[in-house]
Amino acid sequence: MDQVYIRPSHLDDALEALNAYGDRAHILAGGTDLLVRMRHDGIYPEVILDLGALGELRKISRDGDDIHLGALVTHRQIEKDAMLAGEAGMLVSACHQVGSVQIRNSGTIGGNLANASPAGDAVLALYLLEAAVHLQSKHRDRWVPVGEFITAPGQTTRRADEIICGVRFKRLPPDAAVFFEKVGQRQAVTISKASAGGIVRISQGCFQECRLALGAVAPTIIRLPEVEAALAGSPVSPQVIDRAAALAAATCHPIDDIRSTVAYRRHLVQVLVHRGLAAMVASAQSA
Amino acid sequence: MTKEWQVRFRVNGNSVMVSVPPMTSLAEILRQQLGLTGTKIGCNNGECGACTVIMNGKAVASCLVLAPQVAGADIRTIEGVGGDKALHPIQQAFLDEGAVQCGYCTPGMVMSAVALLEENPNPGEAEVKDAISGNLCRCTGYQKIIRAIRHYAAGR
Repeated sequence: MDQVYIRPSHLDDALEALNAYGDRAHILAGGTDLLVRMRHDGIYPEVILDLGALGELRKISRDGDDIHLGALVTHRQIEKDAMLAGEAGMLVSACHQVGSVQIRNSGTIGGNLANASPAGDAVLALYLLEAAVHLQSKHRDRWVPVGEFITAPGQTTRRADEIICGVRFKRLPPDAAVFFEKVGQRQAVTISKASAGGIVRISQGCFQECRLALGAVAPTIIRLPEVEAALAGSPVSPQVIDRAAALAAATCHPIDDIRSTVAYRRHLVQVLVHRGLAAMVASAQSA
Repeated sequence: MTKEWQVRFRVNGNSVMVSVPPMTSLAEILRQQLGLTGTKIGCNNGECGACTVIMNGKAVASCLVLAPQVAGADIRTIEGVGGDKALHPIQQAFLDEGAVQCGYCTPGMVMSAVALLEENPNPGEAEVKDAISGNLCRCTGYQKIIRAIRHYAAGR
């Protein structure tokens, strides 16, 4: 079967094309997932809609405390942005730990969202930031919280006629301490066996706001509402951190698969949450 | 219907035009249409780095770039590094350090090093390792490669 390849220069034309082709079209952004799936998983899209010429989706912009990342913003762009390190530090470290320089120069934040992997590194940071995903179709324009956008491995609530145009979140307050760490087969260019990230604010010796998220230990990235609630208002102490890490390990639900085992992933969650909380406490107290 | 795409772009400073099916990768265009076989195809999966080229100033895996995505781009390959008369100093540094074994990863390693040094003229060891983390050397000659890049940076 012959293939149709479309590379529109304007978003309206892209939306028009998607309206016509619907789920027959595969959307191409950075190519780091789609090309691999086409070569190795036998995916043969009837229509490829290449967003690469839509320069308007390549921008990082700010409006007051709101930060907007166009869907085609690359991991490398985020990593190198002078301001994001202070505004959303764990997003920067998560992006830095994705793949290689070559992959980060191509792979986009929109693609990371669309891929909906439970091991997505940048997406984990977006869960912590409580980001909203901007979806546009010829007829609709809507924003969906990232935690509602991704529903299962590889599954999202994107409709067949919608393009992910970007993602928006609020910059973190200056007193927020942040954390992201992943563990894979090796240190670099690796997919997470488990990953963890967090944001905490400490005031008068107590945890105030606390957000924690885990990757690769559930069908989607997860936040840890029980642990966050247990920490909020608690005094900062080694015992509190121990208990939070143990609770995180008890409440996640990892699986055995090609990359790791239930037991090891649960152990990693305990270690990563413990290490992350300790690091954020140290960073908040030295600030 | 799959028609051929006319793609015009620049390679090593020269304007070129190719006519290829849209699913052709940049690595295939370079090697098969333009005869620039210094760019290697290893995994064809974006993991090994043998096909690394510099596209609009950034190191990318040319096996993961499709023909239409290259339109208007500025591509640099290993053939555009150095010249007929002399090696690029980073190539000389690889030679001086013995940083080449079988040679298959070398063009990609050099391209990653060039992209790094243009962005960051004085990288530390961690930055060098990060820059070549996407380039696999199955002869495992990493130490000499890292030393070559660091010596070149330090010696400038």
